[in-house]
Amino acid sequence: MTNFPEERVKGSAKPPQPLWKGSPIGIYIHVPFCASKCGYCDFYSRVRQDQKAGYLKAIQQEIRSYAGRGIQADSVFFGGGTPSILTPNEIGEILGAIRESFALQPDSELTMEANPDTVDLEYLKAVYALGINRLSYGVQSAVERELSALGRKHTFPRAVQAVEEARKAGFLNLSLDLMLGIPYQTEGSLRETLGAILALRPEHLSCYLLKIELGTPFAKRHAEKDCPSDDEAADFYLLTCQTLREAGFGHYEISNFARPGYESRHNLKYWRDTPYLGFGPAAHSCFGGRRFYNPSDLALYIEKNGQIAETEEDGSCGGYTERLMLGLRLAEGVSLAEIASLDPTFTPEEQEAFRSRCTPYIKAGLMAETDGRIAITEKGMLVSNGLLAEIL
Amino acid sequence: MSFPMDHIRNFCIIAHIDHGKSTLADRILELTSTVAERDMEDQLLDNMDIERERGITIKARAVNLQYTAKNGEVYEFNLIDTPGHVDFNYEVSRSLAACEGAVLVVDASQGIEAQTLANTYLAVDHNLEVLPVVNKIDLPAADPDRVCQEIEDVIGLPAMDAPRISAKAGIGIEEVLERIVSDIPAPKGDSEAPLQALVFDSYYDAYRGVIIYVRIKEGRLKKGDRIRLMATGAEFDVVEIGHMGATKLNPCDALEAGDVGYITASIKSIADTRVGDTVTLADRPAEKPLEGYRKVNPMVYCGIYPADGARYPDLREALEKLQLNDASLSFEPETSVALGFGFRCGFLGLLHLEVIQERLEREFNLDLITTAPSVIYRLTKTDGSVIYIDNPTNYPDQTLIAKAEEPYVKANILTPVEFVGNIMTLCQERRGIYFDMSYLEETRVELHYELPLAEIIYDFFDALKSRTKGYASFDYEFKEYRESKLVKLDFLLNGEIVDALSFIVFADSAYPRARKIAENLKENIPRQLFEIPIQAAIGGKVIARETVKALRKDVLAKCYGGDITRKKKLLEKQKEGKKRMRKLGSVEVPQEAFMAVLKLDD
Repeated sequence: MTNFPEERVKGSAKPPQPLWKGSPIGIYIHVPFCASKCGYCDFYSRVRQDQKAGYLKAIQQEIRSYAGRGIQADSVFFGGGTPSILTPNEIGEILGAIRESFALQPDSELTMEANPDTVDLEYLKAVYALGINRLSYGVQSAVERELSALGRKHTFPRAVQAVEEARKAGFLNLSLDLMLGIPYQTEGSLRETLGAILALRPEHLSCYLLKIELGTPFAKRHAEKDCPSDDEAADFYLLTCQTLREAGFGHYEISNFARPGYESRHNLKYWRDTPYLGFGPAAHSCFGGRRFYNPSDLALYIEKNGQIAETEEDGSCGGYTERLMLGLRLAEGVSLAEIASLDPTFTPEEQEAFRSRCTPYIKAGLMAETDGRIAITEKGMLVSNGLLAEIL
Repeated sequence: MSFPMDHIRNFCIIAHIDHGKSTLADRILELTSTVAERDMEDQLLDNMDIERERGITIKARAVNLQYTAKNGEVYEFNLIDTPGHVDFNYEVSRSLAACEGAVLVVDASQGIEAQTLANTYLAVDHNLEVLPVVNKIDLPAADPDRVCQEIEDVIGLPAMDAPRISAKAGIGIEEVLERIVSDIPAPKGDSEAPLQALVFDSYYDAYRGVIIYVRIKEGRLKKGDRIRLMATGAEFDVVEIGHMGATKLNPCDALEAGDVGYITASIKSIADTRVGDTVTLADRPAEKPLEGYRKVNPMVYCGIYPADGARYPDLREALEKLQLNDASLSFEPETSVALGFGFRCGFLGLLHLEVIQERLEREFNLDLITTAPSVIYRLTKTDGSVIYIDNPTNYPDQTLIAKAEEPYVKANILTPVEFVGNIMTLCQERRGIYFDMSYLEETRVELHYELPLAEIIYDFFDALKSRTKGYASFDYEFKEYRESKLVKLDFLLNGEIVDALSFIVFADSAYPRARKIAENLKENIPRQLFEIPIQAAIGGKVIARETVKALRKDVLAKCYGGDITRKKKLLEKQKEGKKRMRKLGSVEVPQEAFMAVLKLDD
């Protein structure tokens, strides 16, 4: 196999690196299939599954194009779409290609997203046996009305069952997804959901504020009229942060909460600006100092055997602005000195200018500076888009 | 081809807005075959896009036509299209002075309106023969008999035999032309007398310099003559003279008394050729200029700033270009703490302001921030000196003012009788002083008010329309300065005065207006990362307050699968959005907010 990643990237003239020298990377596998589309989702997935065989062949081909370089990896994340639409055998094939092509570390984090209604005990046992050691369930809400408004197929009792089955199958690291600011949600219903979710004793929680994306069915049917106002949604977010903190969860990223030691290793790579490779249509990569992605076109992906990567418009990665933008999503925030050591263009003058732009927001309680690190507070995270536009 | 004086007819068409003035002009052009049909474009005389779109004439135009009358004789017609708005009254009066007659167009369903009267009175003042024409007789609501009666009763012109036409449908146009021949007097004048030519318009041509439109009252003008403009004293050598064709200029060898024509003389500045001035010959000057010249002075001022400060030089260039064709536009640089570099511009009135603003945005592709319009206040200070203030920023401390005066206008409002109550309420709200009211007919009245100009430059016209379902019409002229109680109202955003929002207001109106504007500002300033207090203050005293609450939710919850580019793009978009705002201290203010001070009526 001679398809080194640098050759896949248009306009790159770098010679292939024979041996991997960096820290272990993350591997993302995009599974672009769903049993049905949810009204709020604008991620790339298809309901038709007749292209599954072609997809499996192409993605293994794409993964194997990195073989033979000794690239170390310590996290794999199956996202989608709905990865649990793949059979354990199919998951196994992909994992096989990964293990053959990368030096997967023994303590790696192997996550799979799943819908509670697409798994059962047998399935879970099978994927656990393949090495998947972390499950992420899209639970979203414990309230039936809210689940059906979102277009989710499962009921909450089914989600409870799926959690029990996961435990039985051996999973010690479970993450659950919740959504905030969704149609019909009230403070009361959110408290109900939080209580019910905490009773399941997950190790990790992702709580996403709903954003109605252009072009989604939600946008077309003006779902916002059934949603809480922005002010209410902001209160819901803060209530969630507080409730989870009291339950022993650390709030380590805008939307992510974990019991100590259970922060998602894979997702942290995104925010800490460390390398990762994404495979499958619509997957994004940050590798070899460049950002590139596969276009959202399954047919083309299959036709070209997975060799369709294009460089991002702003194809570089690792610059200080990017590191600040990403690092400030994390509660740990950023260390200016650390970033300057990685990107020398972040001069002392630039650092000072950045710090002075932050000062009014530190005073206003939207940001905080402790032990040489600057971070955005919970209150600030709610308005982080506008905040970043001011300080970057 | 030169016509004997008794075969020349110089006339204009006057009308209330939308009564069909320009359409009639077009039909006349067609019928005299001045314009080939393929060149025919609706409203030919209205050259500017804005004129066509708004259905108004801003600049005077003139066109030379030949008409073969039923008596077999060929006549030369000079049709002068006049501006149709009160802001341009002086220009109208100069155009009228170039004519012997006026065709008065009245809409057969709407009847006499405020500008019908104002323009007719102007025409009568200039001793013009007024020929009434009832237009739009093909409309279902047309009532020509009633309108003719109204013309007789209200204006006192015989109108029962007035041509009844439809300019749009081309009905009765020939009758109008015949009546122009029979009713409008031929010009008088002595071609051998010293030259007196009235400048009734001028415009700047990039190749030939200023082109002056003149009516020769006395004497003769030839190519190569050295001319003098009597008011400005400027002298030039005539390069070309001729008549104005509908689509091009037609040069000729001489213009004589009674003629309407143009002059080019390599004139670089329109300021040398003021409308109303008299052209004479340098070596044989007339004893005195024609009557009626005056320098027009702006009545309304506002600050105009580029939304993007870097385009200040572009704005200057654009204003200079517009001024080439519009001597009544004045501007000088000014600086605002809030808005940076811009210009304080003077206008004849609010329409003039709007037209200039629109042309700057449209023809020069500029994004503008316009501050609230201001009239010119006359202040007598405690040391006895008198100052004129057109910019609120320069308003002196209250303790230094012995006497404050503001301009008043005489306003003339025509309305169906059922809206009299509404109009009286409106005028009262705007500090109007009722003068008198007369019935034009059973259902329509004419109201006379004296109003402070400051009260009508904001949204008086809009308010009048909305309270009379669009039926009332309105016209005004400057009357005098009167003593008044004035205060300067300041607005503070986040505790800092925004100079561009300050304005001068009648003291008793200060409280309600401060509250209203604070509310408007609140609605126009988007929520930001901080809470933004909005305060209105007189001197140091806060009299109204609103708060723009802090933004609560603006976050990208998920960066799916490491798609960082999406987040980068969002950040870029957010930064781009900020560029369209003005940063005043820590507050970002969109352009619209600066207009918020203008909208007072709900």
